[in-house]
Amino acid sequence: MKLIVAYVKPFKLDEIKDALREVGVTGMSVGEIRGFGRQSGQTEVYRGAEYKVEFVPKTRIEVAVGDDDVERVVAAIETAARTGDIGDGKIIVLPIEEILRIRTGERGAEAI
Amino acid sequence: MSEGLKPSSDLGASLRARSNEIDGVVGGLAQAHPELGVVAVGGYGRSELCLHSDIDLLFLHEGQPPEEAVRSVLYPLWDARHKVGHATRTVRATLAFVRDDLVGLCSLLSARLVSGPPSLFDELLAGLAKLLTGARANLGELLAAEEHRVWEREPFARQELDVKSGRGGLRSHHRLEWDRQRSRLIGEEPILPATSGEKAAVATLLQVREALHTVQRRAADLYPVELRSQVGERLGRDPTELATEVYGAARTIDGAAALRWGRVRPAGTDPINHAGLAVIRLVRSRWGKRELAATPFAYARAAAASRSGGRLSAWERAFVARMGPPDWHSGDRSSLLALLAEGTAGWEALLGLWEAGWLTRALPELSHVRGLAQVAPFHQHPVDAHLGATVANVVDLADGAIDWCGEIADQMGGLDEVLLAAFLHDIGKGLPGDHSQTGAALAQQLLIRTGFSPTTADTVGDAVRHHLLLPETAFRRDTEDPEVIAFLAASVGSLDFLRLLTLLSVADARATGADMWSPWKESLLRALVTKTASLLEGTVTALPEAVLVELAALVPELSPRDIADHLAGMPPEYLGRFGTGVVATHLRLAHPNLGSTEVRTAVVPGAPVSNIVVAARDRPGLLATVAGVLALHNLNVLEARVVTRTDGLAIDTFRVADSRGSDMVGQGRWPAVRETMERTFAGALDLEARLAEKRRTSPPMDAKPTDVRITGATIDIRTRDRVGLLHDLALAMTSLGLSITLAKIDTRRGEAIDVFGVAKPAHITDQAIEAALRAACAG
Repeated sequence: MKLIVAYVKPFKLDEIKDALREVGVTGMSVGEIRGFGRQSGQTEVYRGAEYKVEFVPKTRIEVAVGDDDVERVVAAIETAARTGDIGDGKIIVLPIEEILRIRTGERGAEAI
Repeated sequence: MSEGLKPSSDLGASLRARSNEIDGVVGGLAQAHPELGVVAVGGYGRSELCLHSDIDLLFLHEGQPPEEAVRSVLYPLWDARHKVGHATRTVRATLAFVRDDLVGLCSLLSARLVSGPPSLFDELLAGLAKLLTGARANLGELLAAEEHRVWEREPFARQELDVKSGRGGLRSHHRLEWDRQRSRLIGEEPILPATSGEKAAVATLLQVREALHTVQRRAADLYPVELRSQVGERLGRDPTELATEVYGAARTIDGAAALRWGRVRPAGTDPINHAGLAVIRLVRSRWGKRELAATPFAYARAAAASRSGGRLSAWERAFVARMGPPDWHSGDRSSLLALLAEGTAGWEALLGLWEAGWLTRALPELSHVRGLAQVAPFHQHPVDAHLGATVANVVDLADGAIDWCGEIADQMGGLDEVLLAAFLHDIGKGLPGDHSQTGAALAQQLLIRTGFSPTTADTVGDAVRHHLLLPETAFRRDTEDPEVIAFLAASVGSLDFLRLLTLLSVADARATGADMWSPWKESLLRALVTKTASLLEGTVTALPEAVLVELAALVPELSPRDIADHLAGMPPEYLGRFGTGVVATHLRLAHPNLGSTEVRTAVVPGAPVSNIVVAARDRPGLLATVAGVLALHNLNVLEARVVTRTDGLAIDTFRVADSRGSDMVGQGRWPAVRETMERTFAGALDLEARLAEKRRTSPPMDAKPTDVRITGATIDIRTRDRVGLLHDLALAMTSLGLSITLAKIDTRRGEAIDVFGVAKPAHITDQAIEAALRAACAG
């Protein structure tokens, strides 16, 4: 089992949600975050005065999947999130030790 | 009490039956101890026990603690899993205790003897009456302070209403009941008797509280959006309709509470005098004495500006309740605007007018949003309170609650339009169709009916229509895409309107709730606004392919090359300022190229505002000539946007209102306007002589001071509006050798507020320009 964490541009969320649904992912967690990578923030000019956007708004998506589904899900996110411009984001795949569904007590792949 | 009551038309009777049942059990248990007074207090005393409410008992004795007797009543109740609160005291100890304990005192005000000697209970009531005329004669102030804490905690009604302790909840009703009971105990008439509306509202809240206890299987009194379906199902009601009824009920109770507890002033100050003085002061300083008796908005404004937090006194409410709808003279409009500008306190005052029944006579378009439930769970307020919270947020933003929004507010000519837009932006909710569209039409209609200028009605209508445009673009589209920015700029059309929409959007999002406004969302929205503002200001240029495609579709008769050439010759902010719709009209007029005396005109008719576009080769005095022709035909210029292509083609776009109040195109008068225009350009008509004649026959208007300010290439003029003013100003500038690159004309309440962008010859001083313009204003 793997946890797929993706940091993407906020406006891509709906597209990614649809892409994940198409590859059979029914649940995900979403968070509003801010950060910077190579994009290093932005500088905007407003009425002649520059202001620095230190951190760029991003959306974090977390999806837990079985080992067999990792490639498909990563590909779906990658395709949906790509604009080709700087700041498209990152996808990280992490191992999962255990999952437990609180309501039913199911564990492992059953609980995904 | 293991089962929730079945929904019934008389819940009060069902609740009483439940209390009677408990009375029977308690009475039976206490039968063996006739000397023990068993008194029901709190909700049990009021016979309002909901499913999981506590049963509060007071055991009265005459000196010897009756431990055995008390146990014999309590233990069986505990065994039956009732939640029982109890105290065992003598009458004297009880009175001593409640003297310093407000909760105890209030629960005693609902006391009812269940079993035991009536004499003991009578002694308690007599002692209570003494206490209420002595040490606790200030009960009213204590209750008022409690209600004020609720108002502070919840300045605007919440969707997730706590039906017991929330604003307008059952506890607010209890405070009124305790106050009434106090009056009865000391032999006075209640200050605020319960109305049938209040009783019905209480029944609604009790019914929902019972259902909440039943579906949650515990004494939980919060009514969140997520539980609406279950509660609705339990009561056999449509969940949203029921929620609206609940919020309406809370408003009714809150209105009664506002009436009773709204004005608490230091001892010795007379509330009526205070309010009266405030009104008179305000009226004298702003609108003249004649409006004293005619504008409830002025009373409300006085209340909002006083320390009452905006709550009207009983005297004011009663007075306002009897008044008919306003005739909407300018005092009514300016006092409504002043009231909105008071923010939270202004909203309280509006609620007072509303609950008195007057606001819906003045603004019937608002009636349907009273307590209207929002469907989306991220909304923290029902629609009416959301409107109030949005207005209050606009005021806070203008006061600098968020730095960059404060700067935007400073750059706006005033807050009137954004306050009106905030006040009206969701009035389309609860009506068929898209609420932005429906609301825009309704807001426009309301503003025209109440005498606001067509420009204000148009601007506010547009703002209502587009109030979701910025957040939807910021949160759902790629704000780094130049095409997205260009489309937004084209949709917004002007920097002024972008500023208005920005304040409205931020205020709306903040009023909606934490889910809709976070530092994350703020940074997205700010970046979008900044980029769009840069494009509109002309500091960034962008000509995305999609705009060309859209224009090609709008003007299929022109080749893409013609369109691109036209755009290339225009200033960088051109597309953003006019939008693709108007640019398409420009393209049709500009092609093929015009001869030196040729003039082409187009009209986009509307009532009462039409758009007139005039294209001609640029020449000194062009704007003055067109403005003069429009004045001759009684067409009042609301806005003039002037643009000159690099090859010398001038295109002037006018928004005009017919000062006779009719649709000039519909009346068939447009051909005459066009003919005058053509004759003037061909030199066949003496425009100056005709205008002079017209001025002589026009009635003089109120004098207003003239203000001329020159900052770099921008000239701001405020003066009284009159026939041919724009013509005279344009002529004065032309004769000094100034070339007008932009004109923004606005007329509000007889005052012209004009901004010109000009190119000035080096030898002309600002003093000379100012003197010439002042002379032109004076006519």
